[in-house]
Amino acid sequence: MIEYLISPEFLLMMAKIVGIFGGVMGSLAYLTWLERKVMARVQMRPGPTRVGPFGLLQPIADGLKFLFKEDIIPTQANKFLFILAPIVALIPALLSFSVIPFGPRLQVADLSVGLLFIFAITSLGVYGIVLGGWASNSKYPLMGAMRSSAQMISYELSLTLSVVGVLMIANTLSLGELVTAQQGTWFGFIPRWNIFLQPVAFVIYVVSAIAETNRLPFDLAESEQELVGGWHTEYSSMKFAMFMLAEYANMLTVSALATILFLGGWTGPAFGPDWLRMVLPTIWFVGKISVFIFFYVLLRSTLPRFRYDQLMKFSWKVLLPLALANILITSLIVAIS
Amino acid sequence: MIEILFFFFAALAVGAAINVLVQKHVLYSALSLIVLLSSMSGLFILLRADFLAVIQVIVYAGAIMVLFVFVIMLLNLPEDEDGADRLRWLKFLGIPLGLFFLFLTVITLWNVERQDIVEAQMAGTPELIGRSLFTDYLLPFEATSLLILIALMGAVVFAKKDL
Amino acid sequence: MKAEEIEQKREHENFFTTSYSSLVNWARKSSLWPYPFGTACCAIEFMATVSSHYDLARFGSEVVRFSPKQSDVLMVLGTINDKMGPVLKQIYDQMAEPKWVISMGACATCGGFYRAYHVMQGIDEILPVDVYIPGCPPVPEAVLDAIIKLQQQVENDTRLSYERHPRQQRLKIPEVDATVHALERPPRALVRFLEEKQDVQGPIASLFKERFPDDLISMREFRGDLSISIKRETAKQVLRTLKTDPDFNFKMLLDVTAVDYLSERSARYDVVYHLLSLSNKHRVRIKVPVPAEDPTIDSMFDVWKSADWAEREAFDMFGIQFKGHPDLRRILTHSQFVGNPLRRDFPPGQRTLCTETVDLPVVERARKYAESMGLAQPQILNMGPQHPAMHGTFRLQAAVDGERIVDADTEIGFLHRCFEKMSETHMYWQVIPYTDRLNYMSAMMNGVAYAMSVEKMFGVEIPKRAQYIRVILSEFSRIADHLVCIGTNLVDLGAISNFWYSFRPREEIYDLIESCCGGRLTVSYVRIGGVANDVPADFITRARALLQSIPKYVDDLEKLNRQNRIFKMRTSGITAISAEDAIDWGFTGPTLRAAGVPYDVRKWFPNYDYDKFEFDIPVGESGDVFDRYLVRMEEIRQSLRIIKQALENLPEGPVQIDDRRISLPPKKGVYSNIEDLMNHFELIQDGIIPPIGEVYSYWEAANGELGFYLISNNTKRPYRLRVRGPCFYIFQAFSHMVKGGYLSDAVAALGSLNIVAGELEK
Repeated sequence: MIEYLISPEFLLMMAKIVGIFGGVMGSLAYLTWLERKVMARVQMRPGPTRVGPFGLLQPIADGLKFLFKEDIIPTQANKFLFILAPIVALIPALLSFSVIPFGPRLQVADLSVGLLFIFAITSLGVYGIVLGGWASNSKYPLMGAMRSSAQMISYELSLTLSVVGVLMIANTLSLGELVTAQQGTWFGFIPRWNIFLQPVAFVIYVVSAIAETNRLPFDLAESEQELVGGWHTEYSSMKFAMFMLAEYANMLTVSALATILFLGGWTGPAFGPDWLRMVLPTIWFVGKISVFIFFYVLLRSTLPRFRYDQLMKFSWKVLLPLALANILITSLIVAIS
Repeated sequence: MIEILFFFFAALAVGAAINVLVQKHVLYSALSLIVLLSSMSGLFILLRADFLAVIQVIVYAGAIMVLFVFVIMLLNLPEDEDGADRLRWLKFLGIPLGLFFLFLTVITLWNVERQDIVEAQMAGTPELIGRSLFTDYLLPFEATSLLILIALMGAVVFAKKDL
Repeated sequence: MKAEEIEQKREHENFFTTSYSSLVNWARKSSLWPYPFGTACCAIEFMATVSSHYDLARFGSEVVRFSPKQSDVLMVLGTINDKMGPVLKQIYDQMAEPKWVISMGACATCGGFYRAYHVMQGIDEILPVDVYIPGCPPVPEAVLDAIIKLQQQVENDTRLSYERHPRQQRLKIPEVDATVHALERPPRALVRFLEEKQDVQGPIASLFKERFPDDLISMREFRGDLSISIKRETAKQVLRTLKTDPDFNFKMLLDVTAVDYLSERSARYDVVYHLLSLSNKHRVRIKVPVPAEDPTIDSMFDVWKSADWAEREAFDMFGIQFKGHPDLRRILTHSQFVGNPLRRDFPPGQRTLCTETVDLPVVERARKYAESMGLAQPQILNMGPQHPAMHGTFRLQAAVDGERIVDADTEIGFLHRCFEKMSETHMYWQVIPYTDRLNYMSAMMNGVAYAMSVEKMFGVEIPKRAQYIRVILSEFSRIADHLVCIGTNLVDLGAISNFWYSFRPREEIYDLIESCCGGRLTVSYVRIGGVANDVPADFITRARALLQSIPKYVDDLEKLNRQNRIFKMRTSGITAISAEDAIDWGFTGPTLRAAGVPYDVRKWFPNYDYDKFEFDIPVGESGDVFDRYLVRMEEIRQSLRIIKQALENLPEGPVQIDDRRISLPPKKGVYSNIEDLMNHFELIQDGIIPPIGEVYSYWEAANGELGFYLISNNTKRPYRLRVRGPCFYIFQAFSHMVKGGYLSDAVAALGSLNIVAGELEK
């Protein structure tokens, strides 16, 4: 036991965990900064500038403030579930990073069913929202929870089905292998990314992913103008911050997954000295994720949100049939070739 | 290490299962069931049946139980309704049924041979499961799908009166 | 803990704790998230502070949270009246410590110039306030200054933990404020004037005399307004005939109100109806005397739906009972209010304590319905008055079935600040600032409409240049108003950036208005008899530059939304209203035009050379949210057309009427001859004193027909000033429009109706 605890592979594993966890938590905090900055620029204004250079200390101030804010538990609330909910929301959101390959060797665990693992873990995230909304014992949170659970179940279907085509082509469920399968190029200049083989699946995936993470134009669960704050209306202080962190973590997860499935993960041109070759894949990976995040923020700042029934119709009547058709066509092609 | 984890998950599963039965509030029962399912999937992982473990969580904990919880919250049932009068006799039916299942399990385990266990360790991969589903067990598989389809249509007919 | 102990403890604080506390304070001050408790004009200036010209985000304070639990600063923006008091208190109590309060503007700080029966004289009656912002409303810079002041305060705070502020067990009992009693002479001459027999000619008058010889009491024409007094017993029959008879065809009931003549008349009250015939372009005023001992009259709700809230208001304000009204409750004052404030003998400052917010009738209806269906409990959802979609001051209580609204009721009055009572206790020229705060989105137009009514009372016409300035600035105000409406409507739909895109051109319009009069939001630029002063020398260039820049912004907005599928899905077909219904509910302005009725005062009853300008009246088809958006967008373009023509033809000359009863004599005369000096003294001391009479004057404001019904008793204060705010009639239909729709539709619809609380609740 002791030998194992001091063995190099265990220490390496620990280093990876600490590094990835720290990196993810840091980037989650700075996602809020990025979002506020990008949205400000879209809206012709500077955004946070006063707290640190370019407002860079803003997330730290926000986080610290939350730590020292009074934590209110409403008297009518179900205390146990009210406290449990943000934990249930945050832990699965963070767990999924354990199987994401941030680089050729920068992965905590390469499960053979890594992709399904992520789907399984993120599908548990809905409990945080549902329990939080219900435990608050208040109407707006409950409505938010209802909307959210219905929405997440519906879009999970199309999300999962959209990647089946990719799986048929790659023939693996391991995220590491999915990435390596996309290495190389066609004709020397088009990267062998799945997005070129599965464009429809990519679109379905991105749309459902936005819906899964409750972001505009699908942010019905929160919808500030309708439900005040949605499921987290009654939450204050760190618990509210945990919900927010979970939301951003989910954003990061689905973006990372989109990168792995469709954009070749960490693959990209490697050049320069050895240390640069070591770092470059991670940089490509982070860069590709950033594109998605940027897209997310742009969407949030331009589009109005759907109505509840339109959202459900869109999922069941548009996305799901499309995803099924995509699977059918892909399987036909795979069978023929 | 594996033993510790096994006992941990097993204890969690049994505890959660008992909790499902004894909880007064139906929502807590449902939540305990989720814990039970999750610890079961932990046990599957220990058996190297990764695929089963993950599917267990996706299908049961992540989808079906969400619907359960959803419905419970929608109805907002009061705590412990003692209106289970018509189920009074089922309690007594439960004892022989339980014994019967125990008997079945013991029989099955008794007949398992050692080399089967080794093979089972390999059976957890998606490829093997897919292969056996579409070759050896094709008929039951298709029959189940048909059954589910029928149930689905029935549900739609019930839910939508003005078709 | 005693003071010495605390002092001792403080001495023991070592370096670590002080730097720790300063770190915490740094975090707190850098992340002050506001809860915008917006009610009135100040909320608009707060929105301007968030907009791109000022950008509150620089301080990390742009994360506006509508959940009190997640916010740090309670920003009280605007007037808080007694009805809103309990709501404000509740929001404050729900906030997590540490929490701070900023009181923005004169009203929140001390009640402002509303020393009235329904207005809280400063929120510190019920809350501890950290920073007060002076101004009415304060400019955005002042808001930023307050944030910085609060940051300094937080930074220097040595407490590590916060104790809850002692909760005040009950609201402070307001004292009767006797300083603003109306000391007026009795309306004897006025009553005599109104009862004087007059032989009126004219198509409507003769037709009326022919049809209803027995019901007629008297008939008079003054300044072109026909007013007919009829008997109470048959009033309903007569009015119904006026509506249905094709010769009269008064399809629209514009306004219902009452007037109190004290004991000067045998029948103390008059119930006054203003009717409009859209097909014949006729207007008429019907008055029904109602005695004090039996203040009842038949409700006209089943004749015109628009009588609904107006009758409730007359009930609230005068205590007149409308028989057969389905839901006769107080509407503007709170449920615990005692007395009928617009009666002449009601002291203007007499407040009543309000401690609770009551359920609306929908709760009872839903409960009964649920019982009859054998269900356990109806689902009631309360939205507002502090709900982001309810724009701060409206309350919607709905019985919901999941996401669908089955039944709903609205409540207003959370910004009732007694405009009509205030104008009865102020001199004619002092009323202008009050009018600015009616529809504070386009303050200029209210002033114009009010000044027009006094000018009509005098029977004078103002100089051409003043007319043109009024037209140009009013049209700019209309653009600004529509932009805010569209911007906030889109924000309610979730498309938040439109707020910034629509506030930017608005800010540029403010700059122009500010250059004319020094005010941004509430301008007080109009004077009775013209405008305050001439426009600056570079006015035309600046206005022309705006004509260049605004279309760009408008086009950007259009590009972003018009073809947007989600926007269309969310808006088309939502709360569509037919032309007949819209007329019946008393809709005017863009909402009526969206339903397909091309009624626009500027075209139908033009004044100020509107008949010489070339412009079109955009008309919608279905009257849904999308059509309202289209109509408003097109009106912006048409307003630009009008402004362009008006700028080209802007005449030279004075901007004040040369009438010594109205405008001050030139300074040169004041210093050189005794007549002018006397005249100046009198006008300053007593103000403007119009002749005895009653007029209804109207103007196409941004939301529709803004009417002022003015009665003058030949004194320095209006005897009665009734404002017909277009919102009031539009919003009463809201609870009926949203029934059967989704909750989100109600949110989309409210934004598109452009309900402005100041005008709605007066």
